[in-house]
Amino acid sequence: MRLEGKVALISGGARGQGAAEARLFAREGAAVVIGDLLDEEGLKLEAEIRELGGRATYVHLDVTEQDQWENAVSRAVDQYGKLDVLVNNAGIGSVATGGLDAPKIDGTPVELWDRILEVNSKGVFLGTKAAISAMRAAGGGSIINISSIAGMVGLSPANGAAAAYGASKGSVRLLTKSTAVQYGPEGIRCNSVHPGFIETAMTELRLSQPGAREQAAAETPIRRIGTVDDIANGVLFLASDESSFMTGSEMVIDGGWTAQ
Amino acid sequence: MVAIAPGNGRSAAYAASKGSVRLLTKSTAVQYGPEGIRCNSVHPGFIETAMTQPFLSQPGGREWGIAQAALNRIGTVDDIANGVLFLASDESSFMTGSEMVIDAGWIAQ
Repeated sequence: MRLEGKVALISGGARGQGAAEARLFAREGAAVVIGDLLDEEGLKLEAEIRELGGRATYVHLDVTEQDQWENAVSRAVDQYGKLDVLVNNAGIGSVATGGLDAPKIDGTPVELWDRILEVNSKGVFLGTKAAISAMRAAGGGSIINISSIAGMVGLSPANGAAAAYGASKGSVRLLTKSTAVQYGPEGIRCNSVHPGFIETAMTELRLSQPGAREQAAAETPIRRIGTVDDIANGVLFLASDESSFMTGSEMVIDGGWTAQ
Repeated sequence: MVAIAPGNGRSAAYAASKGSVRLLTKSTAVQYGPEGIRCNSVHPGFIETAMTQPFLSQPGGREWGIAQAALNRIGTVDDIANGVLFLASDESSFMTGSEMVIDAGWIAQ
């Protein structure tokens, strides 16, 4: 198994890409701490993984709260002995409506900007800050930060992405490189993943609009929308020792969207 | 992805050729994606191979290579083979036109 003996913490792990990662990690031998705000869904996933013989623990985690991050890392260390892998997966879309009617910059309320940056950018900073000492104690580790193609190129509101979303994901891209450079000598790796259009709860409303799914597929060279498993496979590779010479890299999983 | 000085064992022609591979990869991805043919590029950093052996065996060569890497080591051919395996497999079936940099953090700096 590819993550045999490893302990992983996944933020936003109760559903969507995070849940796909939790299931895959558990199948590959890792003990998984699922952090999320969604207690009911998180506990359900914990039970599902345990029934299949895997090791999983749910912990309530608001990624904007430093003490909750410290608690989540402590749970991993107390229950499974250490922390090897952190997936900073939690994130919010452009607007509460799921990416519909994303505002342009001059129509963006300051509160919306602050909220997106707080979750998507500060949340990754706090997760990394909380995990470093445990990873150092484990003799190294792998941090995977979920950015976006919106962190590589400017997306228009027509793509459902507000400028704040792009700015937050761009900050994740570079925070990843700082983490890689600062902690590489201690054997702690850090890479970013940049999903394209993926079928998740975050994109569901937008993709369900008439013609939206067809348009997204048509704009993608591989001619389909991605699945959460497409992302989970990439995250697994980065979490495993197979990628032990990779750090500070950007794994773009977008069906060729940004290659155009 | 970045230019490397001749003193470090790389000519402009080498960089130009590899830059062309980077973009040829993207053209291939865009042209043949609709037919289900994927194309990605791999960008190794300093790897222990026959090609790099003359440079790495020079006085200070290996130390220079290690100093560029945030992970403080030279890569092995298996480091690259693992990435190529991932891209060859169906695990990466939504990846095309992407750049997989396997360089221990050299160009992240």
